[in-house]
Amino acid sequence: MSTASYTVRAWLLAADARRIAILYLVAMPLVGLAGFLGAVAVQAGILFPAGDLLEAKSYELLGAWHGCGMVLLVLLPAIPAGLGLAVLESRPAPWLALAGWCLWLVAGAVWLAGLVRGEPDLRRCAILGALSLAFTFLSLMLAVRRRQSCGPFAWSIVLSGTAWLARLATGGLEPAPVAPLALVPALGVVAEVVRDSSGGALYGRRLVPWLLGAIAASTFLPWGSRLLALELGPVLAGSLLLAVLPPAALVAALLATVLRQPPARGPALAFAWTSIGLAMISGGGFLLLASAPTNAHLAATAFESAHLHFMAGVVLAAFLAGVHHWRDVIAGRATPEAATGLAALLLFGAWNFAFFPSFVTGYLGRPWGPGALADSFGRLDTISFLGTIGLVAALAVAARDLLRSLFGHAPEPAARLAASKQCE
Amino acid sequence: MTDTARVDTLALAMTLATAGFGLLALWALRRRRPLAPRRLRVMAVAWVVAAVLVLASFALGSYLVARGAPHAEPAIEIDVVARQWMWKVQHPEGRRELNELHLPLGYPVRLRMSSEDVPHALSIPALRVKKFMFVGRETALELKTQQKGQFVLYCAARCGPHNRAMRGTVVVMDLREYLQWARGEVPGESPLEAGRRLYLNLKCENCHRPDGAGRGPALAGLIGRTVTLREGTTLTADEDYVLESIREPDAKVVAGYEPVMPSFAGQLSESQLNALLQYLKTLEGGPR
Repeated sequence: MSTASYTVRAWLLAADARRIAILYLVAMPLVGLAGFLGAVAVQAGILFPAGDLLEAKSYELLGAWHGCGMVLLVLLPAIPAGLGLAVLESRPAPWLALAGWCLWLVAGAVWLAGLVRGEPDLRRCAILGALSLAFTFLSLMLAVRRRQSCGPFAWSIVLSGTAWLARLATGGLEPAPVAPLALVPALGVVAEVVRDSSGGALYGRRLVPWLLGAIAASTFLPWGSRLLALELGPVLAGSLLLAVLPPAALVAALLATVLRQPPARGPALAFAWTSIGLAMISGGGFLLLASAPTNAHLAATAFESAHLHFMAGVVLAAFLAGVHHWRDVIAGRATPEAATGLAALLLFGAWNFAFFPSFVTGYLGRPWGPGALADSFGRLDTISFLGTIGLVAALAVAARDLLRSLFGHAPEPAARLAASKQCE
Repeated sequence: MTDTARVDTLALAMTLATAGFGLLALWALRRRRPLAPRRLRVMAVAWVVAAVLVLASFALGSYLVARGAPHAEPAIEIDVVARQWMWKVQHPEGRRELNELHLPLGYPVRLRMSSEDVPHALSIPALRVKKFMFVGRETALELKTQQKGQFVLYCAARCGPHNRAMRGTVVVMDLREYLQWARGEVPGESPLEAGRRLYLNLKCENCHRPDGAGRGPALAGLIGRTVTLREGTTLTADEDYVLESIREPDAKVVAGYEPVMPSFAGQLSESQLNALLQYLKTLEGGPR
């Protein structure tokens, strides 16, 4: 099939990695929108506690549905499937990627049908989503090996893919414990964007793959509410605090890169900084969840939920950074950038408005789950709800910028493959 | 031993350290002139060294806060049992309560906790503590309160559809008040008043009806009277006999009644038993 064919049939039977990536890029925001609407309902339920708007059972059901779909169908595959397939994979018939896409579609259908029926089959959805991601990772890992791609993004895909396959082998697909793995490709994208904006070489680049590997390995450590049931011995407690070191060192390498050569500014870099900013806030939350005395107070509260949502923000911002960075590869058009950093700034602000109050309410004791409906935190809940609505504005500006960047100009057949540089 | 102020200090230190690194990152991003390689190397190394030092100090701080301050006094041990969807508490003096947890101010307490059905997690946000409770496995939570008042307690585990209703109140009171409360005493209450309150709270009259038609004999005018036992023997119902019957009800059962009374051994203190006896002596045809 020729990739130049633009018929509906050609798209539906796409056996071309870049087209599969574009299908993901179109479908994922729709799934994300459904999940977002679920989250708005949950937030509204908190605004009117005592079960006025949402009964505890519906709250629990909607929350679990939101978590499963957003983590397994959006957060984890967003960067490998949406960006990886476009940037790293180039075979005309990537069957593994195609199998991943078909499984993702089925998982999405199971997820949405579950809500319509009122009885989400989250286990089936999680298994299908996990297998879909495994196929995508396998496809990408083989592509990286075949083309000998290197650079932070390619490394992050190989490392997170290996970790994901290990995760499947060891079992356990609950959304909260598997979510941190999405940080690895996200930080890979951020590192790649910073590198390309600042002269093409990362400060301490030999160390970067090791840092990404350490981050991938640390996602197997229990954290947050998983620690509550454990007797936290000195080895585990020490490992948890040490897990903060690799991302901190990676941020240091990125900052040193821009201090060595101030970068060319643009929306990709603005989203990369948003991602790093949210990562630092999320990292602060992790510190409190990893330390035994504060964990005993904060795990299983809204604080843990806030930490997880900031992690999701890191991935979303990195994803948007990647889409801007590789817009020519994705759309096949070498277009001048139409966007500014406004969307990134709006995203950072709205994300903080929406989720930072949960750090505070969690510290004050609000449980994570239906117990959250028992108490109202008045102003903080209102700020959080307005922030959630503000996210719509931020994402609308980001989407407008992206569409203008991707499709505002004439086709350019010679797309560059920025991330597939041959290793030196 | 959890210390609320120490946990707050640790949390604040971690937050400030994160904010400090954030400000440093902001400075780096705003700088538009390249930094000299030598200075850059120093800064990168300083960042990582600072992160290591900060993490090491947090590790030490976490260990010290988790270990808690040593205390000379033996902890008061309180049993807490969770089940869907309530908290059952028993204090060392035998006093029981439901969905309430009375604690002494500034005195070490050890909660011995277990669950009767599914895993639960006792959370008291104001005291900065949380602990899982399992079926067939005892867990313990050591704490020391620092402030009088009433605080919320709830189950932090997703224990079932009515999890939200599994809430209660922690009442922190002075040690003296707590001990009186645990013994079932009310400050300023005379033994006779305490006895009457116990008589009513324990619902003695439900079985020991004044007309003798209950499951146990009438108690009015009992002390000093001669009674016939099931075996056919007789004895004088003196104070010792009444106390023995409260502790071991099956030992000497009055004729015409079945041995159905539960034992109160270990559930009432000596002072409570004496107060109850004082009140029983005053009964003439029924409780006043």
